[in-house]
Amino acid sequence: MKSIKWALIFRREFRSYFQTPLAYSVLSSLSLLGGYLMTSLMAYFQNSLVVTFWLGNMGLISVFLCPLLTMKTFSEERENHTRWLWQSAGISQGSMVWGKYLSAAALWTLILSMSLPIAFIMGKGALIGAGYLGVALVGYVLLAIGMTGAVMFESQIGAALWGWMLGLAFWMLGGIATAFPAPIQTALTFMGLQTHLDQFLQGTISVAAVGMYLISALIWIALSIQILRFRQDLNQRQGLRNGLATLMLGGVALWGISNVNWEVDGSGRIPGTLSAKTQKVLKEL
Amino acid sequence: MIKFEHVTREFGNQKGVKDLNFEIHSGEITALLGRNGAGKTTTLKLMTGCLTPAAGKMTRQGSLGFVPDHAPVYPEMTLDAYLKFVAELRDIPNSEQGQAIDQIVSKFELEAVLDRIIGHLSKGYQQRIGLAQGLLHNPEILILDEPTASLDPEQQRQTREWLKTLAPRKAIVISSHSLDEVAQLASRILILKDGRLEHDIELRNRPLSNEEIGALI
Repeated sequence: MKSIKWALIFRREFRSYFQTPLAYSVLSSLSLLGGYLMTSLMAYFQNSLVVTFWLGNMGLISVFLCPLLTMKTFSEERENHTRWLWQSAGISQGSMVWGKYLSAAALWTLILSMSLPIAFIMGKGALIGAGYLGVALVGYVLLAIGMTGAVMFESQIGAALWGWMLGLAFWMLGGIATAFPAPIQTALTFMGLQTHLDQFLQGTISVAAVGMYLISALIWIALSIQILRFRQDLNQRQGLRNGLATLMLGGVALWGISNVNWEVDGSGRIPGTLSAKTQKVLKEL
Repeated sequence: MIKFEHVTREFGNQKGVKDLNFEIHSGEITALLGRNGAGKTTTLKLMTGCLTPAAGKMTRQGSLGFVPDHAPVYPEMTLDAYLKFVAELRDIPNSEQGQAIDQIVSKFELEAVLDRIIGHLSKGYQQRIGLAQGLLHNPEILILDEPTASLDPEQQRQTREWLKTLAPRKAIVISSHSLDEVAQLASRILILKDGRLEHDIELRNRPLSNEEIGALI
């Protein structure tokens, strides 16, 4: 029976994270940093707010962490000459990118879930759940951005720098947007990673926000597949056409999802407002 | 089994191959020769499907095994895990994987290092692992780029003997800098020059000495 190739790649990649020091160093440094942040926040805030602010910090940390998880994915294949193994076995570029992306996403989910028990002990379930979902989604977009860098650059450093720079730009897009006129400002604010994370941290899960994160990740994954195809086929015209088609389709999908106004509020407060406790803390800040 | 029809593949200003026309059949060991930059590696990669032609058409019939000049191995894996992984990659049924791995391990005398991490093994072992992965699924077409470069003389001899035994049932293409190897193995030679096919010689009909082959390159 023929095996599903992306699943085979997924399994190999996921195991490889734990066969090298990468997963262990990321997990231990994140535990140290996360633990320090949580202890510091506990000195100032109550239980639920500690987790909310901690998750907010984790969002920013993920900007720097996620490219570390993807930077090796393709440069390693070049260094080990194993890309010939895949290519001569007829593995498609789509299977390669999806297998590697999903393994990085699984590791990111595992990393986040390690702190879940403590978070649920300290805060309200629905609020914490929404916050974790938001941080996980931010990570999925950052991993997809990092994957594009890994496909484009020969070196791991190049891939990581690409991930950090673009990740930071998309993280701050909501703030950068204020420098632009109204229609562009609205579009850029919508695409900002931090813009929607704040909603999640307040316990609101909106379809538009979830859709924005998932569609953004899909656009970057589709671009990665096209770049990998282009590198193999070197058909510039077709590569450019496919890249532009991906961006246009992605843009239309983002525009479509931005018009969906359906959300679930897990904070227990009246939708569209902050809880009294949150308002008090934010006022003091 | 492999057919090139006016195949061209160039890389911007870098050299590639131009207007290649030839066919490779089962039962032949074809040596691909040429100086550095003549287009040997590009031709091999076009044969394997690792590169696609910019113009012309390449067709291939039959399962393929490819042994690149550097062994395509994951250094963090054990040899056992690696071969199981390649078996799955090559769609060998689960019930046949164990037997296929046992046979190839025995053929390349890899029993002693089966549970070792590949990155800790010598270059010679890694080259043998590279050969093993290309043959694990018993392909009908076998393409080898410098297959014996990192092997000791005895292993080189064994590999050549073994390739000869495979030849009647497979289409084998090798790229090699060793004229001795070519003279011992090849039934046909294709000589590339500046990306073009300069000579196509059936050695069965017209045997050539090392010196004669060297003069043609």
